[in-house]
Amino acid sequence: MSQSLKPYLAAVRSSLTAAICLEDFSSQLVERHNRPEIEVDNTHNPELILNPMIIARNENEKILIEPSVNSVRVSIKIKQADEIEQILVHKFTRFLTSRAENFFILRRVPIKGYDISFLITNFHTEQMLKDKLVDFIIEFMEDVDKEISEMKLFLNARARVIAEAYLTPFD
Amino acid sequence: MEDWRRIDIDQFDGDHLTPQELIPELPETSHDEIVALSKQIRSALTSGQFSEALALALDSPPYNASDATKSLHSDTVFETLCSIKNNRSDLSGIIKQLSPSQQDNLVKYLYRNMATPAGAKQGGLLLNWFEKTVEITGLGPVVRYMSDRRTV
Repeated sequence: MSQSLKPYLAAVRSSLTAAICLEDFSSQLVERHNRPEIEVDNTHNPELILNPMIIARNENEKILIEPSVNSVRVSIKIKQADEIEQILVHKFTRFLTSRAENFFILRRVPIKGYDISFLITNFHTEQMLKDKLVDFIIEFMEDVDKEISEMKLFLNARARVIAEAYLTPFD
Repeated sequence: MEDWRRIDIDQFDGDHLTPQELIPELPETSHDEIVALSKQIRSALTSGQFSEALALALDSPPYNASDATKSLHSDTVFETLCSIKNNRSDLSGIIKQLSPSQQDNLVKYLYRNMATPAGAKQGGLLLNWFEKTVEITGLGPVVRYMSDRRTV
């Protein structure tokens, strides 16, 4: 693990552990509704939303944690150094978000300015262990960088082989 | 007639809080006070009194002030943190000398600075401070940052 990644993940871990402290909370506005308060327009009960946190490793890599009384929204901006990585990240996150129901906490649409968003509600913390949820997000952040750079290497290698194959007749 | 389905009827129900009501009433800090304070902090930094400068910056942050004043003070804190990091190696020692409320304010300013583009460029430095602070204080200041309506 690189030197600057460790404090980044440690900060994300402690912030998430503090933020995922959720309880069952019925809507104060609509009778018999129970909805993630972070997701609804809360102009009428601003007391349910807590101060959002942004943790940045550099300009291209940051994470936004928006806590509320019964839900936490976690949005991650994945490192994108060049255009190839932008395309790869876009395809990769699209692949995941189109299968969002298998990931439980994944949000179908990322927040503007970020690549992928998770929504953790009190129902998730009731069914799953909080530590494991935090571990999952940390592990995701670790693996996604590895995955993207690996894909980029494969892509370049494949492009080289194809170019060679095409140009052999003119050799 | 305008679309009556779009009228927000809940606004006529007076039984809810407004964002203004959530903010505790505190005396307003003027811009001049913060300018004077930042000069004081700079002179402390140049004379090498690092922990005094940090304590001074975190003692009375402008909770109730204009955005310009708040960002001026957060820039001052950021400068202080950078200069301490560049000149001193024992961050833990300096953090231990702070009072609990100063540690809370330190975490608030770390989060605030990470949200700015200038702070994001120096992400490694701020994360280093954050790691050391949480090691000493535990999760308390993080929770207090989330729930405290006295934003910096």
